[in-house]
Amino acid sequence: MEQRVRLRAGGVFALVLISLAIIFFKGKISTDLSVFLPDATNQKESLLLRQLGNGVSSNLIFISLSGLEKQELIAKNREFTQKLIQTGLFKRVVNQTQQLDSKQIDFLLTHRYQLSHAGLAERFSSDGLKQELEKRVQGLVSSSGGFEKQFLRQDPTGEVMRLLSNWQDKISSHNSPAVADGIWFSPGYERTLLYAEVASNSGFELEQQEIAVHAMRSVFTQIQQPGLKMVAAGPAVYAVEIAENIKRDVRVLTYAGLSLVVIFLLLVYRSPQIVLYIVTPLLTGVVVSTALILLIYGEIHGITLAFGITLAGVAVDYPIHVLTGIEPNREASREHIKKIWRTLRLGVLSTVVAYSAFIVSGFGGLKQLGLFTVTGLIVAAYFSRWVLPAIVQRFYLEASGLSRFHQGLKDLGQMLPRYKGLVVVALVLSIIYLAMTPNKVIRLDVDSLSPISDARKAQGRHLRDDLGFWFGGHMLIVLAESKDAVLEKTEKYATKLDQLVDKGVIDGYDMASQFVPSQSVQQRNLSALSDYSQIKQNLERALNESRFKKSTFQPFLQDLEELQADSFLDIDQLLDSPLGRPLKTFLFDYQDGQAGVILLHGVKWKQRMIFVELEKKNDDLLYVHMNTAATDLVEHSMVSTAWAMLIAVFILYAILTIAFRDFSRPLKIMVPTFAAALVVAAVLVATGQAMSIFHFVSLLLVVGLGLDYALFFNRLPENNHEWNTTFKALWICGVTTILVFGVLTWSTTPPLKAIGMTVALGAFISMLFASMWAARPQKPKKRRAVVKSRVKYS
Amino acid sequence: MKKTDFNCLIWFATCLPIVLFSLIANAQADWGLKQLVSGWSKINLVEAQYVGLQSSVFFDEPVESKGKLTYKAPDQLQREILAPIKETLRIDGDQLYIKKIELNEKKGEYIEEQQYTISSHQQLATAISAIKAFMAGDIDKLDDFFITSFSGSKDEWSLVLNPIGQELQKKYQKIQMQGQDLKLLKLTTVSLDDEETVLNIVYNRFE
Repeated sequence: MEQRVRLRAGGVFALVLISLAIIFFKGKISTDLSVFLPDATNQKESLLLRQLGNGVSSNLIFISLSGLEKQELIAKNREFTQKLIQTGLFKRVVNQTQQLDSKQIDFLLTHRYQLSHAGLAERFSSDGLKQELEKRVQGLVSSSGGFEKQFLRQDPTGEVMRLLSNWQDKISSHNSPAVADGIWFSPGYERTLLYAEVASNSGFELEQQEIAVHAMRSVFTQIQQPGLKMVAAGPAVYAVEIAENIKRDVRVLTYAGLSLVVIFLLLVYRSPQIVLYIVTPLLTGVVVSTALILLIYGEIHGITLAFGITLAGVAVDYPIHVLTGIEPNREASREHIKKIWRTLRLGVLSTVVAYSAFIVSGFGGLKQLGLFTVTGLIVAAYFSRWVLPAIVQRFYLEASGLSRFHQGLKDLGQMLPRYKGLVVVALVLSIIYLAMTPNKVIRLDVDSLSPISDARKAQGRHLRDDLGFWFGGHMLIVLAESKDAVLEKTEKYATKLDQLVDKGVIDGYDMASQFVPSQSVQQRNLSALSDYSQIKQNLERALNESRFKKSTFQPFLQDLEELQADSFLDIDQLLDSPLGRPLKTFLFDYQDGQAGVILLHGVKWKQRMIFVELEKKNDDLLYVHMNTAATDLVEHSMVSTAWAMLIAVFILYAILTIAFRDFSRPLKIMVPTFAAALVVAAVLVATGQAMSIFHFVSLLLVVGLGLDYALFFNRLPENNHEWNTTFKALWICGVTTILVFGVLTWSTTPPLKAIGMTVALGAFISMLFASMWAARPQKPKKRRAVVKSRVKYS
Repeated sequence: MKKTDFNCLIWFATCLPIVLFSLIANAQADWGLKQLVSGWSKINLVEAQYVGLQSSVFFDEPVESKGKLTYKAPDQLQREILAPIKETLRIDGDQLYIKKIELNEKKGEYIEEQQYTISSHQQLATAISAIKAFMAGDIDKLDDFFITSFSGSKDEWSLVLNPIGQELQKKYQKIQMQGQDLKLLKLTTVSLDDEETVLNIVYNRFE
């Protein structure tokens, strides 16, 4: 026996050491909330997750400076931009329309006819050329004459000038920022604008975003002067802010929660040693499950870790139950532990079953959370049962603190079973309320997952709009086998989209083929130029009526003679060049084929059905609205998670039935438990908090806790002393849970806040209901002021 | 490379006559540059029309252009090109505004207005400080930008400016002004690639 105990203790100790080593060497906290987005189940979803997760724009920071005179703002913007570039942490920092360099202009000049979209045939007709030459004359006289001169001899129709203004203004075709002194401004010139893209290697995005955002803040402090204000928004900033919030919350709230529990336990037991015994199983569980998660996922999510303290709510109960009933007599103690273990085992099993619903859920983050909790609970329970009694030697268990509080609760506890019916009434009322309420019951939208405040999101939207970036989340995705096929298809849809722009349904759209025409358009262009002698003749005619010298366009005729009918543009080469790189947002590899994105500007919500219809009529087209699509995704996964929960309920019933060898007794456990969960849901909804995925997670925890409480309240109390002991252990457990989760309600991260409120309330109601359905003790013969169990192992 | 290099030096050429006719208007009988520069600031308003002839290596014969020039004391200047293209260039204090027709692959032709702060653009700033040197009557400072040679009489005078500053030398070989009495009547600029632009000026208001 002694040897077995030593073996077990040694095993657990070794496991903890290994776990600590894993945490020490591999420990990495992730704060990326997209793990709480469901796994994709179809094409549209996976394209959406690609956009949400690794979209080209996820490294962008939009910045505005305001609060000073326009001229001062221009100077500040220049200085800020320059200093940001100097940090070397950004791929680019842009505060004005980008000028192309001579190499890029050469590329446009060389491919001017392939890149043209329409009208080449008209422009090279005799009349067309006449008009074009007149325009060249005008251009030479204008203020940009010096620039036009450079291309004139090769380009009588001004193709390069057309392409230049198209390619230089690349943010969007739809909206451009106001400009003062070349520098971007908001429409009223109150805020000067810029954007930066964080340089990042895949796999280290968040670290690099953090470094870059911190650098940006310190650069702002360097240029700071009274009145100057900076607003920075965008995916990279949000990611860093979320990370900072989660990390701060996890640190502060974990410490605060644990400290409160420790203080409370010290008040009750008045012995640091006992408190240490009580928290050891919990800490062991947290350490081992953290290590396991790190082994499996390579990193642990901040929310999972914060949820680790939720383990405290349940796992602290195990040692309390084990220790509270210990008798001075060693044999009696063994008997007590054996007896309590029967109930405890059932409690652990029920909670594990409940949490397994998460492991099979469609949310990556929830899987991690479920696995963490299940592992932690099993380890804590094992420790409490097999290791704790062995190491608890020669100590006095004195639960003398807060005796008046205990007495009050005990009186209440003995009275409560009279109101058994109230639980059923509350259950029925909650169900009726949830079914009938006009309030929103379930909140599936992705925003409910986001810890970024609505005001902060609005700032981001304004900045994007002012800068002319796409926002609003409406897009079309075209799928095809090759890039060229994608371009051709998007060209087909452009006609339709132009009509919608004319009708005012949308403000505009961006797509790759606005820059690079498909091969069939290139073919058309090249064939419009294939008849050398005809064009030469047209040019000569036009020249006769113009001021240009006859020899002016000799270089053009030479280019024309050399132009091959099949000299198509190499699109891959273009996409890899600095000129074409921005187009990768619109054109990318997807599975075995290619995908093209059409970003829609200014879609009116009511008219989005036009795109739904368009999608239905075309197999190769997907219409995605980021928010609704993501919501669909969440809904889809919530439904499967809900099924898993339902199955878990039946498994629970089955387990309890087998354990009790009774069909009705499990109901005594399950009714108050589920009644408590439903009452909590009703209270949340009634106070205007629609249930998000995080509330569901928390409700499941409430169910786990409730099962534990109900099981213990249902242990048949053979005598008053035992009733007293159990009752005391239970309220201590309840208070620790409420303390831990009460602290979470102070969190600034909405998911943590939701968890805190739900569980704190749930723990209280579960405790109340479980005690109402508790087995009643015999009437006490006389009042016991304090339970003093002096235990001595020898 | 900038498409909109706003040809600051064309600007220079535009502004110079306005400054100079004010300068010349106050000239004394003794026509020497040094004596002319003191009273220019008394001019409050000038409105004039011009007809320009621009020669080019590309053209058989010069292209004619027409436009308006306006000056309002102390620091508002405007050149409006009316033909063969419509374009407005305006200086207001330290600001330069350019309003012109742009050509775009997607949008077709559209009108765009741009704004620049003169002091923050090296090229522009050089041209403008040369003008300001005239306006301030600062002959010594003028020497930083040009070698000047003044000749002729009150009825027919000529001032030739040969740029020496790097920024100006990049574009212009020579700027020549010819006038009669108080008014500048003809401004000739010769660019580095031998293109010559001649503006003939007629005055509507001169106050």
